[in-house]
Amino acid sequence: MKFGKTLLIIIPLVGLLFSSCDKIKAPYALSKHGNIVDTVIDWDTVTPVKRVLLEDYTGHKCPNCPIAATIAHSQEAYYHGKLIVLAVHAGYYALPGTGEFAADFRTAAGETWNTDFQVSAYPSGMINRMEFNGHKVLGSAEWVTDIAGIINQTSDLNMLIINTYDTSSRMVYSLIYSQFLRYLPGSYNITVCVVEDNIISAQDSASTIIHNYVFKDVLRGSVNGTFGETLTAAVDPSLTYLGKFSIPINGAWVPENCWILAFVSKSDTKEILQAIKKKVIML
Amino acid sequence: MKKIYKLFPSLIVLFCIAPFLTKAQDLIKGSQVSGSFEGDAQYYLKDSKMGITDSSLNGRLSRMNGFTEINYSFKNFSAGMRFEAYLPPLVGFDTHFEGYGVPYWFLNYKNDKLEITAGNFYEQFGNGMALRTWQEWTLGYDNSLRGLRIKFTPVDGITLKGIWGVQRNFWETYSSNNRGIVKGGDIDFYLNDLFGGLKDARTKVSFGGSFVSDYQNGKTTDILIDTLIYTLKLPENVATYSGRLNLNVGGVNFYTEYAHKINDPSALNKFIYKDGNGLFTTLSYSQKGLGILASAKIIDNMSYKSNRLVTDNQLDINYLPAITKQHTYALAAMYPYATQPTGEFGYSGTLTYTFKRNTKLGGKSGLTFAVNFSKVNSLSKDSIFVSSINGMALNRAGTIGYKSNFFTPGKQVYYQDLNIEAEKKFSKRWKGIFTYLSQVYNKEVVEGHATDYGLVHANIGIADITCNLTHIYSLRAEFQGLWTVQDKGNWVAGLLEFTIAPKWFFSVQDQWNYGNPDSQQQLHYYLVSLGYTYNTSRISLSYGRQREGILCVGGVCRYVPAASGLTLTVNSSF
Repeated sequence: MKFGKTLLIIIPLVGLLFSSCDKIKAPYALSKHGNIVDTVIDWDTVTPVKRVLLEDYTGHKCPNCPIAATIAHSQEAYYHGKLIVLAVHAGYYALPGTGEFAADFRTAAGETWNTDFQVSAYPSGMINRMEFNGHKVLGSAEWVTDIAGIINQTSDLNMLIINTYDTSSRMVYSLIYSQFLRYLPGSYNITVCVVEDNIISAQDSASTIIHNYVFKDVLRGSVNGTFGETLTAAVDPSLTYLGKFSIPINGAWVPENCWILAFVSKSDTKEILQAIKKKVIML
Repeated sequence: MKKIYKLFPSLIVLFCIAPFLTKAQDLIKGSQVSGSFEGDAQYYLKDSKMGITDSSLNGRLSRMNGFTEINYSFKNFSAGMRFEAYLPPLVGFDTHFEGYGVPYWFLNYKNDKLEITAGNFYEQFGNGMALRTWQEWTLGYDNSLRGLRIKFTPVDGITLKGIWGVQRNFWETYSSNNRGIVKGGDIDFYLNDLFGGLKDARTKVSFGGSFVSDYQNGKTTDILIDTLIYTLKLPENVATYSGRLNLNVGGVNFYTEYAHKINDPSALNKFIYKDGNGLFTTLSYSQKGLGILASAKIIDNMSYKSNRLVTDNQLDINYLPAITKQHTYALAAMYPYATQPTGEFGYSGTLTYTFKRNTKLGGKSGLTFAVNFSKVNSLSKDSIFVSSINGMALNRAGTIGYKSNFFTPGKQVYYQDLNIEAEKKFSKRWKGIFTYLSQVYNKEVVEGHATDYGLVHANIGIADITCNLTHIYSLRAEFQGLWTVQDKGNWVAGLLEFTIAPKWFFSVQDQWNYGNPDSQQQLHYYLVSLGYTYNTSRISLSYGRQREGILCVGGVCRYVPAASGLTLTVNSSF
């Protein structure tokens, strides 16, 4: 009898518990388009590759700059996505002039970088804002050797960008994921920029003026401050850091030619650990 | 929330005292108070050779982990609480612990048939493959449940348990978005108690079953697979059930338990939908002077957490038992094994035999000899066809993941340990323990490295000699060597410990990585310690270096970074 009473207690309890069980039927995953609410990154599907940022400090009235740009872009092509070029128009040669030199490609961030890193000769560049032979600012003749010296280093962090562009508001919603692959001491910043390709304007050259010069990888501005914002003050490799950015695309820019560029740098030395760029509109 | 925690002690006392205020004398007469205290404080020093710099210390030179637990009981009622402080947590402990408060408190009523607990509790169903909440201070591990628990014994031989609560996660306040609600039931039948005629039978039989369900908020999540975003359908209720059987005939004991978990896509299993399975079996035999234990376990996708995004040692609902031996000697413990919840196939055997006194091998005082062997491999897994990529894939998110051959081990060795130990008392004054170990350690898998470290093959020899100088003074020495051509190369270690019973001990020890391939890292990890014991209280002080490694308890491990400095430990119970 007691045993029977026990069963009377057990059976409803078992029934209650078994109702707490959701069996999902395939297909488990559905492809999705549109707004991204909460995305979990499977980093195993993202190959950790170190991408180096070459900043080319240039100006449209700089006669030697087209040759440096050619060097930069030939290196970019050679390294198949492991090198990212950013053309920073700043300084004396970038000042807008009259006539076909009226365009002003300067940006607040570019000018500050130009001053803070003491760029005084053009063309000059920085490779990941690292020091090579005691100098951060390097002449274009040094780029090939110095890039080769670091391009195959292992990556310290993974980065991923997902852009969604809204045509009507000309806004790009950018999700930038970062994951450190190992513990690193110190604090790190993330800087997000807009870059535009294929701008046609005049460029002074060594012997002549190129009237329809194609400017590539032109910095259009930093989205989150000159030196970005703090990504983390204490690296935790188990975390995925997510930055959400709503970026207006200026009416004078061509969205199809624009990219979102992001890089993570040390907060103190400004050395860049990883960079990534992705088109605003995937054609 | 931490402020609310501060009120708990007062509330608990009030709860306990309120019904008895009119009988204060009885309360004093029949009540009992017990408790314990531990404080571990470290002062860290820079050590450039070990890579410990101002930057890595980050200005936090002094750190402390401490707790006080107090339990009160009066007749059928009991109550308790534990105060914890991590200010800040010791190096190697999760930084989320930083803070203080009362993460554990309970009120309990118990009579012959019924036990009711409100507040925090630790509970285990069977061997834990469906549910186990436990706490291990040295690991910084605590997954206690806070809620309600009822244990009911309707008749002799049947025990019912029901639990309902949420798990502790550092100091984080519960919300439906940060963890699930765990509920479950368990039943045990002890046939020899249930049927009076079997009460004195030589064969003892018991069996039981468990059901646990975890409710996590959210029916979908978005996930990036390759370069496309997918929406995953999520099970809000994930259930695990298990069955177990225990047979005992004389000195032979057989225990087996099987657990099954339904689809539980999580960050740890890479969001696959395969059901999980676990099987654990032991067979043992013991008689005077002889012990034999054989164990086997198969684990297939059995991680079960109350937050599917967590990959660290947090919010585990279940526990996957370890079958490898947990070593205590420093070099033997250098390569411990951590259970791999995504899949493993392991077995182990232990033979303990004591050669009697006055025999050829036993000598005057006998000889105890123990051999233990354990091996853990991967689980054999086959890739499956995935239509979205029109090809085969293994462990691809948003799919069933793989097909497993449950009773077939995979080819990849995770861990292997052969250890032989002989314990011999040579005379009234001298005794020794001599151990040889041969270990194979898959550093990449056990420590979760992305880079291929390959297998570490290590041979280890240990001699532990104790000399009782008088009935008060004793001297113990350890000599250890670890030889491997992989990882950090060869090590030797020595320890000398002088004890003045029952109060004082002094020790000096050193571990020397003389075979490190990097000559700059051929470091000495020296440590000098002293300790004083007074009744049930103990205080110890040590100064020196701690090498980098992993610390495991029951197959659950935490990373221990290199450290250098002064350590003070105080513990007491009352």
